[in-house]
Amino acid sequence: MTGIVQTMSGNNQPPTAAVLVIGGGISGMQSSLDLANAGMKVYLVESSPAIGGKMAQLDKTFPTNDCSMCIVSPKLVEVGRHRNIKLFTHSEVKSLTGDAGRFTATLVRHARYVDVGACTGCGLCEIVCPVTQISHFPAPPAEGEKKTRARGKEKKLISGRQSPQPTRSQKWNFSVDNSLCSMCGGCFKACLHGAVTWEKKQVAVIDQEKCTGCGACFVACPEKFKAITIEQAADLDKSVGAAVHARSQLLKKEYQGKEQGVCIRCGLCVITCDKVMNIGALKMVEDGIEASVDICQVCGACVSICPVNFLEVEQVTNKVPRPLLNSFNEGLNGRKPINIFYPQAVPRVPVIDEASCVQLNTGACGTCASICGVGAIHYDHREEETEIAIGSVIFSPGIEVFDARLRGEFGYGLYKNVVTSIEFERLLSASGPTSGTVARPGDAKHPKKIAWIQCVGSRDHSCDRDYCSSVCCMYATKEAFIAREHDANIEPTIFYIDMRSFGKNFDDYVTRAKDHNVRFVRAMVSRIFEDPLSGDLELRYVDESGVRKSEIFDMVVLSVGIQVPQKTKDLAGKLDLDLDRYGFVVTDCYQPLATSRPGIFVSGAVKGPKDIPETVCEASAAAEAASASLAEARGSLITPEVMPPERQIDPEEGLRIGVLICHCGTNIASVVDVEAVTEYAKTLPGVVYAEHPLYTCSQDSQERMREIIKEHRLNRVVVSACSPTTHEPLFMSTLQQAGLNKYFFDMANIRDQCSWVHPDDPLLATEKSKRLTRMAVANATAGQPLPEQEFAVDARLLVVGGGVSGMTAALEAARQGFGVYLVEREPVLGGQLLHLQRSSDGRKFADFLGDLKEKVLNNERIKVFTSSEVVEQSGFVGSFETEIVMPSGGTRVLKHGAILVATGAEEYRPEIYGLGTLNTVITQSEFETALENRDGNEWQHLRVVMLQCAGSRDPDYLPYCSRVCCNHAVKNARRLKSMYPEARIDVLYRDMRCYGLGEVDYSRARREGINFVRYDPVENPVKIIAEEVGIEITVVDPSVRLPVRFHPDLLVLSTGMKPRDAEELASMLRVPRNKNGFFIEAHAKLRPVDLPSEGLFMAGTAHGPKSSTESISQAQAAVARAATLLSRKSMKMSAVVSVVDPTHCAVCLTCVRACPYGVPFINNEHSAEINPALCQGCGICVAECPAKTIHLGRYDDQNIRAKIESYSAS
Amino acid sequence: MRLSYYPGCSLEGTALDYDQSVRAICRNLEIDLVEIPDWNCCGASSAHMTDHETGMRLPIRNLLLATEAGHDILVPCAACFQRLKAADKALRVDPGFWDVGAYNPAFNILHISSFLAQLEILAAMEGKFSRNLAGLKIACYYGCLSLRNPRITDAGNWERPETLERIMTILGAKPVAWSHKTECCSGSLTMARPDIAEKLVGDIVDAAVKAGATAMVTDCPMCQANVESRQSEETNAPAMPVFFITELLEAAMTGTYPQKQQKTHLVSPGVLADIFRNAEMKKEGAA
Repeated sequence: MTGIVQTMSGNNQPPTAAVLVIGGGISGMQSSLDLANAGMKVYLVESSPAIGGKMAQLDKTFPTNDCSMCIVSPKLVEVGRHRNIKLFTHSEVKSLTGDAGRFTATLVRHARYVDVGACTGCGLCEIVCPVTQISHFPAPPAEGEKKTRARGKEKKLISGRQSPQPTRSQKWNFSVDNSLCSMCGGCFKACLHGAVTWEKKQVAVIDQEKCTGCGACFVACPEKFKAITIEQAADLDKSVGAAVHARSQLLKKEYQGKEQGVCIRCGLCVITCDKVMNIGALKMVEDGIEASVDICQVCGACVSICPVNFLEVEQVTNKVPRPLLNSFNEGLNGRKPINIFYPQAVPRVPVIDEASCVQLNTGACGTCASICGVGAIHYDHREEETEIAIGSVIFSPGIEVFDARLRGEFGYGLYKNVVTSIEFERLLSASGPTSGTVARPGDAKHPKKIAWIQCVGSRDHSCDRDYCSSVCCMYATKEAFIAREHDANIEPTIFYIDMRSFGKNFDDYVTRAKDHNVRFVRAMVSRIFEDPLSGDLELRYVDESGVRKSEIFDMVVLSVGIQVPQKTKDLAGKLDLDLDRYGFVVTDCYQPLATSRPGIFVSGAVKGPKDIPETVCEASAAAEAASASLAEARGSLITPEVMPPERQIDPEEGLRIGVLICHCGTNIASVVDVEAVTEYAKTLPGVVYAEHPLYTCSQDSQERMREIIKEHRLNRVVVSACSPTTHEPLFMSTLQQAGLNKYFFDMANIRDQCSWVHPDDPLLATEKSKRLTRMAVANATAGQPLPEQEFAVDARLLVVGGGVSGMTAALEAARQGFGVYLVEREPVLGGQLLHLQRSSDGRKFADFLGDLKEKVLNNERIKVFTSSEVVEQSGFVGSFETEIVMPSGGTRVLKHGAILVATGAEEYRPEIYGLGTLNTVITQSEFETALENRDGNEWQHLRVVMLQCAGSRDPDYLPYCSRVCCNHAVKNARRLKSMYPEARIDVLYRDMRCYGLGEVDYSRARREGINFVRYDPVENPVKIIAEEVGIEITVVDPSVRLPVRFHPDLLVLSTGMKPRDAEELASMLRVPRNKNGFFIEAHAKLRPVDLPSEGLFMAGTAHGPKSSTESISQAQAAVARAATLLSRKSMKMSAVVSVVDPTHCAVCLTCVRACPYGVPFINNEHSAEINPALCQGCGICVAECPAKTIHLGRYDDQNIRAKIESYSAS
Repeated sequence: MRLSYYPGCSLEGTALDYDQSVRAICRNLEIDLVEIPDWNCCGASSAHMTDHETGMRLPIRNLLLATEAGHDILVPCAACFQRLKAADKALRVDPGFWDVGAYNPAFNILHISSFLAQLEILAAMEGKFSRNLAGLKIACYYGCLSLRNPRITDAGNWERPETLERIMTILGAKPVAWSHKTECCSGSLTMARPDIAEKLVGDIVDAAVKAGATAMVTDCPMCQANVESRQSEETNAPAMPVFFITELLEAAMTGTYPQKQQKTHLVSPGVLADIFRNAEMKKEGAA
C-alpha cells in the first residue's frame, strides 16, 4: 500500500494537472470544487442523469435541521457552472490505463437523447409525454418484412357506470379531402352520430352540425388514403400527439371538479392509440370504448390523456401493467420515459429511458421532439466514448441502501405502510411525491403512530451486514423530529439497540428530540403483522424488563443500513482497487485516502459508512491527496476566469429593475401567491421585468437570469426567495457574469421570514411578500456600484499545533508547494499520539510518529518552531501577520496567507473512583501503555473491569460523548485477551458506539469472551467501591436481569477527551469555540474544517474528539481548503466595507472603541481610517459614529431610508 | 424421475391421506417414489427434545439407508425434513464424529412444496388438471419447520416463502397476501398447553380471515392437524379448513373431491366441496 505517489522517476515530464472524480454526490462535488479552485482541471463522472447523489434526496439534515436541498443546491450550481469542472453525467468509466501522474481514462457517455447544450430544462417534453408504463412492445418485424399492425382478437367493452355523454367542447373539425377519398365508407360505418353521409362510389361528407368531433372517422379512414383531415387544432402543426395533449389539457381544466369516470367521447384515447402509438387497440362504440386487450402495448397513453379518468390501465390490456416509477422519489410516484431527474437537477436536462420510450422502441409517437421549442431532442443519439488524460483519480461513487426485503419479518414490499428511511425522506420532502405531507403509501391517511426500527441491514450477521451504518440513529431521530414538525399529531417511537449519537453535538440533538416527544425504546422488533383491512401494523418486541410486548402502529419506517452497490464493486474491480468483504474500499489507517492502487484515492461512504460532514471532510482530504503529487503542474490545464467588462450605467438611462419571485418548489408557492407578488412587482417604480421561476437558484434559472439582464438591459436585480446568507453570492456572481456590478442587487427573504413562519395565513403572507419585495426594490433603487479591490496572496500556511494533525497538515501543504510555519507549544512534536501505543490495526504509533517527525523536520519548505506560542495575530485572509514567542524569549513575526488550527485534545482525568490515588484505577491510555510494556505472566489471570463514559456524557464532568472510547476499550480488551486468554474482562457501557466497521471488532470481542454489561446512570447505576484493599463493583446485568458483582484487579476508566487550552488563541483569532471548548466550524454540515473567519481552518481533535485516522484525514482536508486560497496569486475583497469621510471626522475615537475587530485607527492626517482589507463590514462603526461620517456600501443611510420609507408606503 | 421417499410416522397415522395424495400426484406426474427400505423414526418431537444424540442418530440411519439408492429424497413432513436436513449437514461436516466412514452423497433432501414449485414440475402439471379451483381464496400456510433455521433448511426466503402460492396460482385459486404464513402453529405445545395452542391458532385463523381467505393450505402435517383441531368453538370466527397442498392437487387432477376425503377433516371442507359440486351442476345444467 503506497498512498503517497512518487513523482515519475526517470521521467522529467510534469504530471497531468487534471483529476478524474468518479461520483457526483456531495463527496465528488466537494472534491471537484476544492480541486478546481486550487488550479486543477476536473472531470466529474456521474452515472445518474444529474449530480447531487443521496444528499439531494434527503429532506433535512442533522443535527442542525437545515434543509438538505437548500444547502446543497449552491454546490450543485457551482459545480455545474465551474469553468474548470467538466461534467459527465449519465456516464461511466469504462477503463483506466497508465500510472499515477499520467493516467488515461475512457469514459462512456450513455445516449441521453437530449442535447445538454440546447435544452433549457423547461420540462415541457415531460409534461406532454403520454407514456406512464413500461410497455410490452410488439415484436419488431422480421428482417426484410414490412411492419404490419397486429389485429386484435380478444375484445373487451369498457362501458363505465353510465353510457357516454359526448361533448362538443374544444371540438376538432374533421373534413373529407375529396381528392384523397377512396369512397370506401369506413368513416360512415365508424361514425356513431350519423354525421357522415356516404353512398357507394360517392365521396363521404361530414355534417358539421351533427359531428361531435370524436374523430372516429379520422381513425377509421385507412392509413393509405388519409382522406380525413383535422382543421386548425392547437399544436396540430407540431404533431397529432401534441394536439391531443393540448385538447386534453383544455378538457381536463373544464371537467375539473365535475363528475369523473363517465366517457365524454372526446376520442382522444382512440386517436392516441391509433395515430400516435400506431397500435389501434381502441375503438369507440355505442356503449363506451372497445379495447383489443391482446394487442395493447400497455404504454398507458390512453389513460394519461383521458380528461375524465374514464379509463384504467388494467381495463385495456390482458397483460400485467408495469408502471414507470420515479427512482429519485424511491418509486413512490410515477414518471415519464422522458424525465428530469429532480426539479433542482444539475444539469436540468431530461434523459429518455430506452426501456420505456415508445419512439425508441417502435418508431411511433415522437411527441416530445415535436413540441421541443429548441429542437433539443434527438432520437438518434448513440453512446459516446471520450478519452481523457488525468494525473489522479478520486473514487467516490457512494452507496445504496440495504434491500429491506432481505429482512422478511418486517414485510417490506408486502405491507404498504412499511417504508424505508430513504422513502420517508422523500415523503417529508417538499419536492417529494406528497409535497411534504406525511401520508401512508397504502391509503394516503395521515399516520399518527409511527415506529422506526433501527439496524435493518446493519449490525446483522444473518445477512452479512456485520458493520454499523453509522448514520441511522441520527437520521431516524431527525426524521422523527421533522415528522412532528410537519404534523404535531404524530407520535414517533424509535426502536434501537444502542443509541449511536457519537458525533459533535449529536447527543444534544437526541435530548432535544426526546423533549419534543420522540419516544425511544431499547428493543429489537422481532416481527410485524399487518392488518389487511386497516393497513395498521402490529409490532412485537421484548422490552427492557424482558416482557413481551405487542403494539399497533399506523406506519413503520425501517432504518435501512448502507451498502456498496454491486455496480460499484464491479467498477472497483476494473480499477484494480482492493475491497473488504463487504465491498468497502480498503485503506491504510495512516493514509486514509489512498487506495491499493497508487494514484487512485477514495472518499465518502464507499470506504466505510459515514455521514455528510465526515464525507465532505474526506472529500476535501481526497482532493488534497490527489493533487499533492500533481502540484508542480498546478494551473497548467485550467481556463482562467474572465468576467465580461462591467457595463457602465449611464446616470441618464433611468431605472431598469428586474424582479424574480421564487417558488422554491412549494416552499414558498404553497403559502404565498407568487403570481400575485410577481404582478405586483411589475407595478413598482422602476421595475421593467418580473417573473416567478420554480427554483431561482437552479442552473437553468441562473442562465435565464443572465439572458434577462442582457435582453432587458436591466441595471438592478431583485430576487425574492430565501436567505441571502446562503444564496446571495450565487446571484451576485450571476450579475457579474452578465456584466452588471454585483452590488446592483438585493434580496428579500420571503421563505424563511415569510412562507415558513406564516403557513396558516396565505393571504397575509402574500401581502407580506409584496411588502418585502417592495422594500428590496427600494433598496436596489438606491444601490450604488461598488468597486472591489484586489490584493496579492501570501502562499504560506501557519499551522498551530504539532500533533499528528498539525504535522500531517504541514507535510501535505509542503507537498502542495506551499511554505509552512509549524508552531508547537511543547518542546517535542507528536501531541496526544505520544501517549497512545498502537493503531487500530495493531501497528506501533511510535514508528509512525518517528517517520512523520523526520519528514517534517527535514522538509525545507517547513519551518518548525517548538516551545513556541502565538502571542499576536493580525492581518486578513491572504495576508496575515502572526507574532510568536520562541523559547529564547525572543519574538518573531511570521507572514502567511492562511492559518490552520490543530491545537488538539488530551485525555480527560477526572478525580473519580480513586483515579490518581489508587494504582489499581487507571485510564484507557494508561492501560494501553501498561499493556505494551508488560512482560512475564503476572497478568495471565488478570481481572479487568472497564467503565465506559467515566466522566463523559455526564453534566458534572464532560457533558459530551468522546466518540473514540468505545473503540479504544474494544481494542485494548482484545489485545489483553489475545496476550492472556485467561484474563477476564468486563466492559460496563451505556451504548457501545462502535460505529462503522468498528462494529466488526466489537462483535469479535464478544465472541472472544469479553463480557459487555450495560448500565444506565439513572435507571441502573454502577456502584463502585474503590479502596486500597480492593475494588467492588455492583450493577444489574440486563441480559440476566440480576445484580452482578465484580472484584477486579484493575479498574480501567474510559474518561474521554477534552480540548487543550486554546482560549487565548481563539480570542486572538476571533473564532468561536463551543461550550465544551472545541472550535466551531463555519457550517456543521458542509464546511466542517473551515473556521467562520475567512482564511482560517482547523483539523484534528481541536474540532472535536476523533481517532488518529480521522485526524489525518481532516488535516489533509484543511490543507485542501487552504490550498484553494494559497494557490491564488491574488484575491478580491468585498466592497462592503466601512469608509471614513475625513471631512467630518472629529477624531472622537468612537469607532476605534466600537469595532470588535480593532480595525479603525487614527492616521497621520488626523482622521480615523479603516483598512478595507481588515474591515468585516459589520457596520457597527457606521451606526456609532456621532458625526455620521462613516459609510458602508449597500447599508448606507440612503439604502436603509429607502427601505423604511417603502415599508410604510403602499 | 425417480425419488427416494421418506413418509415418516405422521403420514402413516393422522396424515394418512397426505401420504396417499402425495403418492397419487407423483404417479400422475410419472415420478417414481421408492420408499426408503426399513426407514425409522426421523428423530423429531420426543427424540430430539429428549436427547441430542438420539435426535441425530435416528435420521442418520435413514440417510445412510438412502445413500444406497442415491436418489434425491422427497419428504412431505416438515419435521422429518428438518431432522433429515440437520443430520445431513452434520454428517457432511464431520462424518467421523458420527462413526460414519465417508459421507458425501450427491442427493438433495426435498421438501414437498419447494419440490413441486420448481418450474419444470409446474410445467409438467400443466394440462393435468381436469378442474380448476377458481374462486377459492386461500391462505398459504408454512409454519416453521420446513423453513427455519435457514442454515439447516437452506430455504431461500424463509420469512416470506412463496412456493405454495406458486402452486395455488396454477390451480386457478387466489392466494391472499397475509401476515401469518410462517407463524408458529403451537405444534409442540398442543398437548401440554392447549390454552396457548388455541391462542396461537386463533391468531393465525383470524389473520387468514381478515385477509379474506376461506381456507388454508399447508405442507406440514403438524400444522394441518393443529390448526384444524385447535380452532376455538367459542369465537364466532368462521371455521377454517386446512388442506394439504397435495390434497388440492389431487382433487384438481382427478376432478373429484370424494366424501371419504372430506371426512378426514375436523373442520368442514365445504368450501372446496362446493366448488366441485357447483362445477358438476353447471356441467349437468349444460348437458
